[in-house]
Amino acid sequence: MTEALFGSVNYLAEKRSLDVCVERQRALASNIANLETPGFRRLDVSSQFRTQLSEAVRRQDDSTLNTLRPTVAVDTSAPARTPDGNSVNLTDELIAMQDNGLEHSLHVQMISARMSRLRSAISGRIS
Amino acid sequence: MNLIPGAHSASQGLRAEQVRLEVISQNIANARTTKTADGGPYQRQAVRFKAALGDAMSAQAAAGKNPPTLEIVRDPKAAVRVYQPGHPDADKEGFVAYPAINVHEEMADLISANRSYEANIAVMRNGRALAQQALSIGKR
Repeated sequence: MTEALFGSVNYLAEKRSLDVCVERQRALASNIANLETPGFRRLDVSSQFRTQLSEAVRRQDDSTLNTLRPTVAVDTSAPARTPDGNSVNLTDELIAMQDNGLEHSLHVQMISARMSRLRSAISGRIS
Repeated sequence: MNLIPGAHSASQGLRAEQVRLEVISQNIANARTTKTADGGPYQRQAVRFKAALGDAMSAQAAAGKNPPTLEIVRDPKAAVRVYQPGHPDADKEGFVAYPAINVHEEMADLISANRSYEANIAVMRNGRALAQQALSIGKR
């Protein structure tokens, strides 16, 4: 029964997006920690995963959404910043991190809002 | 348990920067040391960062486990010879070997290490905010 409450495509997509934010925070943390590692190429959530996610949402494909897990890959588009080939730019990473934090709180709010809607439906009171 | 995303990388980064600060302070403190336990003048030390998993390509899907490690290496730069006949460490011709340390260079490096340290602190703070938000899911 709870599947009907929490199994909708939008809810699953929200959950997956939250996973993406956590994985991206990990990738950004490793980028910043390796700011001075010679030859380090920056990591990010793979664009392949992002297209898979949006494709699954578009097709309303809940089984894919259930199994999809974010993957991290080397960001090949980032230019080298230093002669040794390190492609981590501190400003960009910090901006991406702020961005990611906001995105995370957006998804948290969406999930919480869904829960509070369910709660008012169950109790019959507007909380 | 890993509640704060990225905490492992950030803490390793902080530790690495700390070691770097330590090495820089040692270099500055020994900028005029003409005699060490091994006899010669002090040799400048430098840190070398390495990604823990070798190259970044093998870091696929393992971002959280790719903190930097570092090793301390000796800078092979030759000592600077200064003519100072009265000095106790002067050689037969009256030259004293001083370590090839440029204090300005060290200070610039110090600032850079400081900034990197702060950046890792910012990562920690952000990761913590993320975890706290996640904990608030479903709260009224």
